[in-house]
Amino acid sequence: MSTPEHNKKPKMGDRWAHIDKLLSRTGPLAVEGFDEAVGMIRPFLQDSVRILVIGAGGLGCELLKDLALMGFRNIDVIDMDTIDLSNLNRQFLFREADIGSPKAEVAAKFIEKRVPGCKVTPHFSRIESKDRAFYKQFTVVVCGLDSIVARRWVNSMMHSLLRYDEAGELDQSSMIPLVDGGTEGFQGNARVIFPGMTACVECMLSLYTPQVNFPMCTIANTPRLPEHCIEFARLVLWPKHRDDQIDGDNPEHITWLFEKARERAAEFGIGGVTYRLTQGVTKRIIPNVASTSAVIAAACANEVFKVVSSCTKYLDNNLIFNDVDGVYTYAYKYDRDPDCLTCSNKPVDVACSPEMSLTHLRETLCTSDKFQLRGPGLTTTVGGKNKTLYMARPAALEQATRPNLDKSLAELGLEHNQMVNVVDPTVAGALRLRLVMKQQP
Amino acid sequence: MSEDKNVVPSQREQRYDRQLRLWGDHGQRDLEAAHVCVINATTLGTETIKNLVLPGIGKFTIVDPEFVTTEDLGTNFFFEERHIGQPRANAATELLLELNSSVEGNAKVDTMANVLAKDPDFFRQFSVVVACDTPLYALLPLATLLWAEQIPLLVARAYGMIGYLRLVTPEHTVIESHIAAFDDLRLTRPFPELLAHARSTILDDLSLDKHSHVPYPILVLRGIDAWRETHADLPRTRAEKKEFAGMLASWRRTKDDGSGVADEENFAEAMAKCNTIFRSAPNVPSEIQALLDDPKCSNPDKSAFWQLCNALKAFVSVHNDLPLSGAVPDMHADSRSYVALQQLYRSKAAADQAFIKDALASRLPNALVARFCKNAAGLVVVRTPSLETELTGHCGKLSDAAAMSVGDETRAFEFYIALRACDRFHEKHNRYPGTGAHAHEEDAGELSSMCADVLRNAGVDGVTIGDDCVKEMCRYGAAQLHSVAAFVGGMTSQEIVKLVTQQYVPANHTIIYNGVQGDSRTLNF
Repeated sequence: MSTPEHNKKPKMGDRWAHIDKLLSRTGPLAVEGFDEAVGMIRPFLQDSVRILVIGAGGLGCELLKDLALMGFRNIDVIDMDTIDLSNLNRQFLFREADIGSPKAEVAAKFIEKRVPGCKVTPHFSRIESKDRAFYKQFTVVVCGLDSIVARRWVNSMMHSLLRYDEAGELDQSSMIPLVDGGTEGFQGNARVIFPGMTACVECMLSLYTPQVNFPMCTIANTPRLPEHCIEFARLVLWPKHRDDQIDGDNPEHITWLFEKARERAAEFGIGGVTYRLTQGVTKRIIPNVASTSAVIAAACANEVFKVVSSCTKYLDNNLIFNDVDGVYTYAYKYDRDPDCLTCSNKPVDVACSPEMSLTHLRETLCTSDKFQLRGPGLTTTVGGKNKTLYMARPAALEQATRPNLDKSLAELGLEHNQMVNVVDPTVAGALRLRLVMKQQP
Repeated sequence: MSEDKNVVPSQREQRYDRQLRLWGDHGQRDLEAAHVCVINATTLGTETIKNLVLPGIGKFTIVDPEFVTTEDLGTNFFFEERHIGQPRANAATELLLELNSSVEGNAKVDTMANVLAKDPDFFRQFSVVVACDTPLYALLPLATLLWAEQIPLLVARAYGMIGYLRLVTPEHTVIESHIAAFDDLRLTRPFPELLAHARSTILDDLSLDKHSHVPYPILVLRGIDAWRETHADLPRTRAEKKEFAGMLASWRRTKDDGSGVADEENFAEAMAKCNTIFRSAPNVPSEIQALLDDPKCSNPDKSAFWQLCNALKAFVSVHNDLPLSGAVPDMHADSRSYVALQQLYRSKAAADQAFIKDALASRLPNALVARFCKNAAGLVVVRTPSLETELTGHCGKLSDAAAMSVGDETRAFEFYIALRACDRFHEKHNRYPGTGAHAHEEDAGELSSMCADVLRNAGVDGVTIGDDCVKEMCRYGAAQLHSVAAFVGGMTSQEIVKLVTQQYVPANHTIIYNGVQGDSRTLNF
């Protein structure tokens, strides 16, 4: 820009001149009450606010940059991954020399160097290794994850921090806003969640397309696509011939699968098995480009800035983005599910019968659209005593509770309206279920 | 880049793996051959370049006369404190090149206007030019030159909470639009080999296992033969389609133990597809027919696209159909039947490609001809109005855009006009509204009347721009919020990838992003 004011000699105090236009001036689109706070907002944003960024991948790198340049100075970042060569086409805080180092640590160091005054605290760990006291420290939590299970876990964690009074009214001071971004190829979404107040990740679960698995009978008997042959090599041949776990980044492993898949494809006259496809199917690779990460992270960071400062109103509550055919965005309000597993603050009904086996009940919890659990463990109270129905871990408990799997709910002493607590990889605490028995004993 | 699909990928392929799965090795080659010019290393400018250096664009050149200030450090990631007082173009080039050693970057410390005056040929070297955060009126001479050279120009801006992106090009052609198309199986107009193959399948002679693995296209073709015995025309109405599906249902076998109808998934597939198979659609979609009717199709220029369209026109005049794509979706079938069917479609597609190749006036690479034929149903041509038309003419379609945006929550049209008015303000005062020492609100009155001027000059009646939009624009004072600049930079870089790869469809032609709503609209006028 070549306006005269830009030609003045710069002062150090001008550093935040751009965001100050929004933070020190009010306007018709500001949130009510913003006027009274003008002047105090930047110091608040810079000194009192602490943001947690979950994930230091494609979205995470962008988010850290975006937030640091929106004036935030206390940022934590958590990621359990190390840097891989295939990250470098979009994760711009990493260089070839960083390959193998923890993403969170390299990213934090880079931001601190490039944006002096911004403190970024890295956590090279799993999200599940942090407790409620950790998550409670933040003003806003931003998610840049590629896993639905992890996203559901974070959502569950942020809801577990909510406090309700005796009348069931939410104590809003216990609420920490959650901003969530996701990308795949040229598509993405961003959402703003006020736990306990607006639709949460669990309410919107149906928006995620379920993972496609080829039926085993097709893979084994009637392969038609190169993918079927690769899955045959991975699921049937590998366990038969090899003892080690498949590592999708080990070229020897992928080469082995590729050769076997190619042999099988040749047998059936199927073309198109390549090394790239073999690795893609084996690792379930999600294609990603820099531009989509940039757009979605920017949308999320913009929402964080608005939510914290109230300088304008914010996204209500879901944005979808796709730039294959032109540039398509659509922001709309997703309604809360009054019976949501996570945010309804009440037990959720599950239909069952006294004859149903515990295995069947667990399968229902995994396959039904509403629950989509991954490995539920169940406990309950029978006759005033705590009773563990089934736990997948630790191994000793699994062994002790395994015989229960074949028993019917009636045999286990479970009745109509029985309350059952469920733990699962998608849940930070426990779900409360109410068994609704079709035939009451 | 190595394209041997049978060896462990090179370092380079591993680095680009996640994008090669989207635009392919040929898309990557096009990207690596491209040279993009970015005018102004504002936040928007450097964010755009960042998203191009990462995937490995060939070259970039920054043209920028300004020097790094302290306030740049608060919004732009590609400057450090040591750069204060140095040319922005140099500092940004240095830090951007750290992202990818395969990319070449140049800096030109000068104004666009000076470069244009001294060396007009300079801009002819680029694949695409992007002008960042420049008022539209200042771009007219450059836009005119690029228009004549058929070099696409993108105009991108981050203005407070408002983002703007405009494509200016007389023509951009797309071979691989990647828009999901219907399956192209020709079941209502089968080619002879397909029909013969279907008729050689005698359903009644098959065991139950074989019967339940006959690919659904064969079932449909056999069904059509049976249908024609009693009907003059194919099923068209909903009732007829239902009747056809019912006929297929009646062909299902009973289970071996006689306990009811066997669960034959191939029949279920055939029945479910009846609606789309018998939809009434012309052999050549209207969008493609419009391309064939374009004067450039009969008298193609040197571009491969129009030469291929010319050959396509010859193909359609003979076959009254597009070349077959050759793609067969997965379906319930045994391996042998599926592969046999796939072979038929592939042979026909190869024959169609050979026709196109022979009809071409000059030789083109086989791979290109094959891609063109495969995607013939999704070809796209994008033509936008020139910047001159937009700025100086009475644009009739602008009134339509205004009418269509009544009730639009993003208020894209109003912000578009307000942005034009901000340029007018800048032209008059050499500063944007809401900048300078006085209170920002003081500029609102003048900006408001300039909005009315813009509308009047464009011939748009009966529309006013809301006071809240005008006041917000004054509040923004042309601030570059990093978030908004990064959002627009992300969009801009992807539009550039589209332009240089001829893949995906660029937005036509003006995108307004409203950072308050978190939503955008594309205006076409």
